[in-house]
Amino acid sequence: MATAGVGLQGLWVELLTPLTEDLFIHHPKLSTHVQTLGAKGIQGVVMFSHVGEGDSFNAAERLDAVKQLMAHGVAGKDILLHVAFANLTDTVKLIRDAHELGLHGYILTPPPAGPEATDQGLFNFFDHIVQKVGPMGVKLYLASQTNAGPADLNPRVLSELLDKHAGAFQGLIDQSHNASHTMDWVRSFLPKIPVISNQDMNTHVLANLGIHASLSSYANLLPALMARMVLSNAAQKVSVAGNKIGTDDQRLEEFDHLIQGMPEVPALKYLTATHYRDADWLRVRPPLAALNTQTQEKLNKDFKKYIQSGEAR
Amino acid sequence: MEIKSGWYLIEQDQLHRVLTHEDFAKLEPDSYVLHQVFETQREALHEMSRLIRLAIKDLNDEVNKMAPPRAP
Repeated sequence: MATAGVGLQGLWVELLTPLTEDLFIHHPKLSTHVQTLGAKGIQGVVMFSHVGEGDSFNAAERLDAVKQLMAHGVAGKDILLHVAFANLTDTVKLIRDAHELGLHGYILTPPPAGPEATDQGLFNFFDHIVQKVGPMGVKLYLASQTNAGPADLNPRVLSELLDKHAGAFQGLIDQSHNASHTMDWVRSFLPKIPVISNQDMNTHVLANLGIHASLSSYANLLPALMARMVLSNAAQKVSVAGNKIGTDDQRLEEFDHLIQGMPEVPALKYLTATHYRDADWLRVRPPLAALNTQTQEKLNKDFKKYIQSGEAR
Repeated sequence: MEIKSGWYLIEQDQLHRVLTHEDFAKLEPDSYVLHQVFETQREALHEMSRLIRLAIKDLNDEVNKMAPPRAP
């Protein structure tokens, strides 16, 4: 269980967001999905991340989804909420409106910015948010952009924010798809603040460094496997290069290989639809689009093979 | 995350079953596959019926594939 006063621990699932026919959030299906993941051993859920199509949902929709989930028995302390918007006021308002729900914390990411963005502007953005909501005692997590750009968090901005607001931030979340970027953050900031990754393929490496916390999108489908990866720090085999490899690593690599080169959200939703045998899970909010029929057929075939070749879910 | 209640739809010995949280907790690990957890028994039973209907349809399709084509 997530414990108050203790940093993030264990497996937190970046939830996919099921949709109704008219593309609103399907609250009953979301609740059932979360209860099911809970029974399979996850620590908590992350709502409206990149895989949760966060950018497609406004503040009111996000708040309503949190409330509905809690009304269906999910505790606030088991929920991390993405509160990033392109403007300061929506972020501040959402945190204030959600505060009384007692969520575990809130994830901030840099806003999309044009060529005029500067480090000072980025610092001011987060500084303003902390000044507005920091006194409320909320737990904030700083996350990099999913696709790193010139306006992404960099060591200089992070250092200044952590120096000025020591204690306001509970962790850094590296969302880049670059393992060396994650390791740079670990080397630079780990003594000062926990560093967490949401890249499933980094999970075991970080676990071996003693970081037993992970945000995982693959755990929507593989909660048991990812829970083992987060908690483990031992492996059964050693590769030619001397890297430790275990059966779970191989299963994870095979799964990663299944969806490589495909758009992540539609691919994971397709697999979830297959897993639950429920076509409602295929829906995505435009501008995303479901996988085309040919890709679906290939993925379906490969996923069946994957399931038949070993049970790791 | 602590799940204190709910109705568990599982598959055990090739049969679908709906169990309470208490009965689910008594199961031997690895003796079942957990499908989904629902808030109400009605939802769980509804899903169980749907999965059984799909399984029957799958079987039907398999049998039809194996059946020789009808003579004109």
